[in-house]
Order: sequence, then structure tokens, then C-alpha cells
Amino acid sequence: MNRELLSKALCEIDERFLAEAYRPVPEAASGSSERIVPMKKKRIITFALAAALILSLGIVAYATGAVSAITELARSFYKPAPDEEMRNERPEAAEHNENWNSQMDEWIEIGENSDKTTQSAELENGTTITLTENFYDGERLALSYVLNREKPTVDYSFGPDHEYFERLSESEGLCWYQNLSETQYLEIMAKLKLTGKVGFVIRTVDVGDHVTLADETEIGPFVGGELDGYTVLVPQNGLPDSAKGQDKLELVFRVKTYEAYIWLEGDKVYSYYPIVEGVPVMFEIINNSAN
Amino acid sequence: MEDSKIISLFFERSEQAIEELDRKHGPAVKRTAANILKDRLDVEECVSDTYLRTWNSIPPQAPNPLASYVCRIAHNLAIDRYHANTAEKRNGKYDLVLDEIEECIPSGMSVETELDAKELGASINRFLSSLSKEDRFLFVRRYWYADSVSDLAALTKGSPNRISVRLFRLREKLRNTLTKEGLLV
Repeated sequence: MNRELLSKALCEIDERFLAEAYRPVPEAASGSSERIVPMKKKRIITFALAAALILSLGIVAYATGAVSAITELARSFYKPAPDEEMRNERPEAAEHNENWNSQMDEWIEIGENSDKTTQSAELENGTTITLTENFYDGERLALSYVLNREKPTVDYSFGPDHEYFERLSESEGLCWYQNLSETQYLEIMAKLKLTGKVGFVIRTVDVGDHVTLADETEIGPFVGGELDGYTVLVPQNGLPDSAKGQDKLELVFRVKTYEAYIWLEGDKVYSYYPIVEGVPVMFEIINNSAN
Repeated sequence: MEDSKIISLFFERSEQAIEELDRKHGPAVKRTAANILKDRLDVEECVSDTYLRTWNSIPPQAPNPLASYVCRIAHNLAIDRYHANTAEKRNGKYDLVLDEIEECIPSGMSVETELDAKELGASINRFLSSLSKEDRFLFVRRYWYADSVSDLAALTKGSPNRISVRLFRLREKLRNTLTKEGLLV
């Protein structure tokens, strides 16, 4: 009863919200359920060790006490346990929920047994990355971190004279505004309305997608999520062999200042994302089972 | 062809109107239906019915924007067919979407029996008005357009995990809104 009512209520969503969220679909994708959207991936090719970092050990209380972000995230991800009706009528969904919840049970256990001693690194640009908890038993790894950084900035010095202008490509459907504040967004729209075109660079500090061992062995890809500013990472496919059974792991994160070069002209959007090198930050993870 | 010209063709009762509509917005219409219905024939029938309804409603309607207007027709037709289908014909993907949104109703509670879809829909619209543009985009894309989480990640250049957490937060907010408005018992 609830499902049918909810789905019919969703049919009442206001037209302006549907129009706001509408995105055209390329003809090539119309036959499949997969969407083809050009993605500008931020890729690491190489990195050079950067300027000096300040690495300090400190015991800083987690914001909510001795609570684990890994455990809390897992609890928030829990799905309704399948009942008999679900098993009979939607066996696919029931199996999905059961498998998902089993994985979350494991995360909850990991979070309850994680090491909550924090490690922090402060970078020259004022950004601080803090490893807030970690779990490593020789086979499994999970961790959470917090990145304290400036909010994304908008720089209007980008235009046709810039060296990157020629590298712009049309980017229909790109949600360039997703990390900006309402004020920043409105300022850009006002400039666009005034002259019909506007160019700008959005700079965002974030942790790169790739986390490696000191010898550059990839640890990811990851599953996880964010909770109250804490990012939780769990390797999706388990650890590589060279990371198993060790007394400790040295993990390298890369903190990057991403740049998005955007040109708006009428209702067209053009973008260019240069490859950026990150500042490496290393954390030491001790094997819990060895203690 | 611009939407205004397509609408002119509808007003002229020219069959070219449907051809142009299909050329420009057909992929989005098909995708809207396919995100909800599993069976290919159901999707095709839904798209045909959508065009027929559009033909019958323009004129006097002159919708602007046209895209979301036809997608809405397709969506509503697909929903009706979804609920009419037996369990084995249902789309597992859309089932998951409904499972998620059903979480807004805490176990042990139910929606007021007298409540109809319009009243609940009005409450959802008030909820959407209170959201930031980005959050509203995510909510509408997931629970109306029924995009998968990975589709949303590609659209927003975020990671699927971050999208999942944001959607979870939005569902919690919706649940609080429905509770505050006294719509849940």
C-alpha cells in the first residue's frame, strides 16, 4: 500500500523540478538503460614528491567520542530485512538486501574493533588531513579520514586569452555547480545574464581517488561513503597480496587542488579539467591482530 | 528542431510533429519508461501511448518545456503499468528505487489511510522546495527519473558511495518532513 501510494505521489512532483533535473539522452544510449555521459576523470599519471609536510601524531578525540565512523556509516546503510512478502514477490530485492546487510554487519564489527588513534598531516596550503580510525588485521583494511580545507573558490580570470581556452570541449549536462555555494552560483549566473558569456575556474581541494602503498601498489578501488564530514574507505576487492600479512602498512594519500575551467555561453557549457598532481601524505597503519 | 516549432506542428495537426518529437526527445522518453519497466514490449507500448497522449493534449496545451512534459506522461504511464504487472514482470531495478523511498516510512508506521497521492505529492513538493538545487537534482533524478546510483555519479562527477550517502540523508529529511506535517501515523 505504501509503495503504490508513494510512487503515485512522486508522479505529482512539480513540473519545474522535473524540468530543472531534466538531462537530454544521446541517441546512442536510447536502446539501453545505461547512460552515456562524457566524464572528465581526474587521473594520476605520475607524481613527484612535493615540499615538506608536517606529520604529527596526536590523540585527538573523535567528534562524537569513541564512536566509529565505519560502524555508524554501516548502520546508516542498513536496508530493511526482507520479510516473507518480499521474498515471495521480490526475491531479487530480498537477496540484495540480505547480502548487503551481511556486508554491513562485517563493517560494524570492523568499526567496533578499529584503532581510533588519530594521525594528522598539515599541508603548506593550510589543508589538514586527519586519519581518524583504521583497521588492519593482515587481511582486511578499513579506515576513515577527515579533510579540513577551504571551500571551493571561483576565479574569473579565465577567458579566450587563456592557454586552456582552446582545450575546452562542449559538456552538455555537466553539473559544474555541484560544489559551489548558492552565492557563488548566483554570482556566475548574474555575470552570464549581463554579457551572455562567462569564464571561470573552480578550484577544489580533495583527496585523490587513488590510495597506494609506499611502493605505489594500488589499494583501491574502494567502497564506503561520507558521514558528517568523515570519509570511510574499504577496499572493494580486498587487499593486494603484497599488503597482506604485514606488521604494518604505509598508505599514501594524495591531496589535490582540482581545477575546473568552465566557459558558459548562452545555454552552452564548455569545460576543461587539467591533470593535477597531488601532494602525497603517508600514514602508518599497524596490524591490529599483532597487538 | 526547436520545441516551439514542434509544438506548432502539433497545432497544425501535422504527423511530422510526432516524428520530430521522437527525434528530439525520444531517447529521454524511452529511458524514462525503461528505468521503470523491464519488458521491452511494455516500454515500446508505453512510448507509443505517450506520443498518443501528447498528440491528444497539444493543443490546447502548449507545454514549455516540452521535454519534461512528455517525460512526465511517459513516467506516469510507466508507473501505472508497473503496478499492474505481476511480480515476475516487474523491474528489479525500479523495485530497489521504491524500496529506498519506502524507508521514509518508518517500520511500524503507515501513511494516513485518508491521505491520497495528491496530498502526499504536495508535501513532497514542499520538501523539494526546501532543498538546495543540487540535493533536489539528486532526489528527482533518483526517485522520479529512476536513474541508478552509478548514473548519478557519472552525471555529478561524484563517487557512487557519496551519492548513496547523500540520498540516504535526503530520505531521512523527507521522513522528518512527513512526520512533522502529521502525515505519518
